[in-house]
Amino acid sequence: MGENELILSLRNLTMRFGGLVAVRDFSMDIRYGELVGLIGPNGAGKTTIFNMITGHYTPTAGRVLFQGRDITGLPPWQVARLGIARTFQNIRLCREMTALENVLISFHPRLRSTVFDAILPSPRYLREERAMREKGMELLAAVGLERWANFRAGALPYGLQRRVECARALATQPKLLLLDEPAAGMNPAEAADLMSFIGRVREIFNLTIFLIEHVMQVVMGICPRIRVIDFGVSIAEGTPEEIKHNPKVIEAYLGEEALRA
Amino acid sequence: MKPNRILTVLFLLGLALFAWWGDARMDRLLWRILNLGAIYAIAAVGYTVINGITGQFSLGPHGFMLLGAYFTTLLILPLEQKRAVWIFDPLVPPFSQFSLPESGFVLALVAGGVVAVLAAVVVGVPALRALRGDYLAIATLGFGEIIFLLVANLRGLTNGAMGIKGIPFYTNLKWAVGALVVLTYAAVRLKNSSFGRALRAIREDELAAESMGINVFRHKFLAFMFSAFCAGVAGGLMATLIGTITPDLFRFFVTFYLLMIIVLGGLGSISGAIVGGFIFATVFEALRFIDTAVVPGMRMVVFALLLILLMLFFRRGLFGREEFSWDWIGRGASRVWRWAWAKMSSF
Repeated sequence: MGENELILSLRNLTMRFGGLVAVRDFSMDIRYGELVGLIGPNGAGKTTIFNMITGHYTPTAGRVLFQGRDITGLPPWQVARLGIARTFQNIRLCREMTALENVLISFHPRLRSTVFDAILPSPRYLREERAMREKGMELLAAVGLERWANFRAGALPYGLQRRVECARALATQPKLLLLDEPAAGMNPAEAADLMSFIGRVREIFNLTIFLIEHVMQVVMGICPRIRVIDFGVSIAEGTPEEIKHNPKVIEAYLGEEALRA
Repeated sequence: MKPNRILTVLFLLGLALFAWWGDARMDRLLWRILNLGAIYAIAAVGYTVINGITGQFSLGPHGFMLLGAYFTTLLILPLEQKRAVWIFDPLVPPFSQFSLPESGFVLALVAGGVVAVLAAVVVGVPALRALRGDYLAIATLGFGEIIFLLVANLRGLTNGAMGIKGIPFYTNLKWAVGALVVLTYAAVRLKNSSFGRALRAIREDELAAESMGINVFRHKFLAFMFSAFCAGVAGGLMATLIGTITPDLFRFFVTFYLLMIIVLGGLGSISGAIVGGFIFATVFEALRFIDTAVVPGMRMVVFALLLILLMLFFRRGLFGREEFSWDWIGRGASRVWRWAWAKMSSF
């Protein structure tokens, strides 16, 4: 695979917290347009990998290349501006703000007006604010949330909060979307629904998606390529079929007894 | 024009007339309380922008107020008064060379605000970049102490602990209320703009805001500078209201007052900060009898108790996070009307 086909390249990432090695020597390449799953049991280090990509953690060793550029150690807000957006395992919305306002936050970094423009307010600012609101409503409509635009985000049901978070991430106009256990806390029907939603979003917005999940069945349906980690170490990669029958994966998930049985 | 806008214009006209009338012939005690209320409200509006809206616990506004008070005074104190005040250590140039006439009062107030902003830059760059929560509170508290010590010891500039007296009484309702209106307008616009959304996002979830590309430090810094400017202007107005300043005019207790004001009004509500400022000034005067009747200083004990009670039973304050608006009045009025109507028809 050629260098310029890669949107994200993780090279020998290691993250140590004191004596604990959360991730050890993790390497992975993701091509433009791919939909890749990262699975592993609880505490395997999946979220740590995300945090190293987005700049919330600076890896102890190794490098993160995004579109060929070394972004290791950049602060999260700069990483976001380069085109990597994420959602969180435990939804992190601004709960006291409306669904629309949550989306508008993501447009703020692109605002060209200065704070004086906003205070006056100057025609330029008013134009930009109007355009942001229109785009925000369009985006909410795209994820089926236009009815809820003016509801307090914290008051929305769980499934809708997930979608607001997703819309907020999309509003940053990312090239790469990182989803951290998007189906956490959902029943199988809701999870299936969400997964088809993710597939649609990927097509509409022409995105590369990297998603974490610990329930294997959820990713099996939509990710053509899956990587498995356990105790911070990469143990397998392949298509859902290959992963399902990989003895190392079965051991990691079910224990050695399951393998012997 | 929309009806709400007409109401706003009428309200501002009424306010201007009131200030005019008040300056000319209002009862002096009431006049003084209203001036104090407006000054507290100005500082509180700024304070609620950093503390309530952005959620960064700063304990430094008294330092900024002190800076504003001294700088404004240095600019407008008449030359003969300057010569009379600085007897032991002469006043340093350029302040010893000039003095602004009354027409330069606005300039002096703005300059006081700007000096406070400069100090905010100095303390904000390290403190806001690295610290949050309790640590930021401690750092800003330390900053307030530093300002106090500087003012108390730079005698060539401040006349030290002896203070400065004979400051012309320029502050009146026109100036105090005028400054309050202008700064409130700016604060409201800021809060409702895209920048305000970013500030609120930082309060709600800093990590999420940062992950959406918001430069958290820059926005905290913006709010901090705004609050410093308001505090500086409030300090300048205070100096020219009471006519005498000493380094302990604004000690930590002033920040404590402001905290009480914005909690009473509702953390993050600009309307609440204004109403709270006037209530505070009124109650503070009304409770003066405690000092004379019981022990001097007893008033503060009562105030501390009030703050505790406020936190226990009234945490959301008068406004919560809501803001005053004509529609809000309209809704309230129609609710009262419906309630009264229901009562009447049940008879």
